[in-house]
Amino acid sequence: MHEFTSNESRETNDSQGQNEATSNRASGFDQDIAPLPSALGGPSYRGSESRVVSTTHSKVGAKSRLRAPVYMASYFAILNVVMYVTINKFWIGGSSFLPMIGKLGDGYKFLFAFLVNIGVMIGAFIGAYTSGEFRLRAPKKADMGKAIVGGILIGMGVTVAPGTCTTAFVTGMPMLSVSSFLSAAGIFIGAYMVYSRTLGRR
Amino acid sequence: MPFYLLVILGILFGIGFGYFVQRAGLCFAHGLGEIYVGRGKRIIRLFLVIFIITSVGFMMSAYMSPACGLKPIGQIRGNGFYNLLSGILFGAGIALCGGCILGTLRQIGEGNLMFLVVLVSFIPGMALVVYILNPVLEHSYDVEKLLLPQMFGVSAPYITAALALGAIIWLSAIRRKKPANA
Repeated sequence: MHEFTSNESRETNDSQGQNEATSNRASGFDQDIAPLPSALGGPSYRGSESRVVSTTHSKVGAKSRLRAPVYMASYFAILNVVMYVTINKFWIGGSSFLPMIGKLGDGYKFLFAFLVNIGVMIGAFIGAYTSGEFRLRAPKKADMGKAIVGGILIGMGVTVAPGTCTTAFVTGMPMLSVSSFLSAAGIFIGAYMVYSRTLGRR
Repeated sequence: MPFYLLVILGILFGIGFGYFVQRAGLCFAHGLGEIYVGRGKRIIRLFLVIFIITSVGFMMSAYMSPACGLKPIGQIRGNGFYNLLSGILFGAGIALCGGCILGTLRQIGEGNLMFLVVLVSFIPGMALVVYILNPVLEHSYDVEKLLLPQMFGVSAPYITAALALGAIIWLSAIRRKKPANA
């Protein structure tokens, strides 16, 4: 299991001679950006890099391919603001999963956020399906341990100081919330600790 | 607004978020890894774009609706120690399983069932803290909600403008740099 499944689909598309630009745009990788191995047994860095180089030399639509992820991120940010202005709610990440342990929050605020996240999954499915990137992938036994440990750590992280973590990058920091800046610093440290052990070995 | 209408709108907004996140290839776990190996240009660019638009938008929201404006997200716990700790735990977790909250939801939407395992694994972690650790720890620290303008005693628009301007300059600098072999 790893973050580079879009690349896997891109690799499949390439082998089938399909449009490289579409899949590359969806994965968000620019020409100069190589996909990264995950800690969960993803492809090796060098191998991934060479694969990208070999699949991104098409000159067709190069500009739009480079810019598309940035535009999509812009639409995401605009929607974030529109949601806040229209219904006075903002997208939150971590605390939105508290309904899974029976905490619905005051005024069902966590339940609302959880339902937004259900919508996020549906939206991601629509995006993947319409771009031909949807592919059911069964869990691999070898990755299960890291997935479970990683999930438990995430669960602990989002509750030790609620309303922070991933939310920090898309809502908290733009809100100028001090707790989000602190949380973001912690995220960098925590991720560095793991990446230095996993990527450093390759 | 009735709750059912709020829920419908929330799900619709969520669908929009999910679609754009999927198309942008947005995942901070992946992005932090890119930064670690010195190839963080892509995620920094995406983050800066999101930061500029959202920070200005949130700032302007106060002028559009009195109910909006800047709000402190989350709580500073134990003078920030617990925020750092939560960030470290979260950062280690996302790096280990290869997906942040955005990435996890996106991967599930893309059909990667392993991230369902990740999602379900949130439950013991959250339960451990909420039902066992928090009742013990909550008495040992102060909880504070604070914004940067309050901390520095400077009006919010000045800070937003300064940060957004810095982000724009950074973004321009990134866009201008070409790879040596390009």
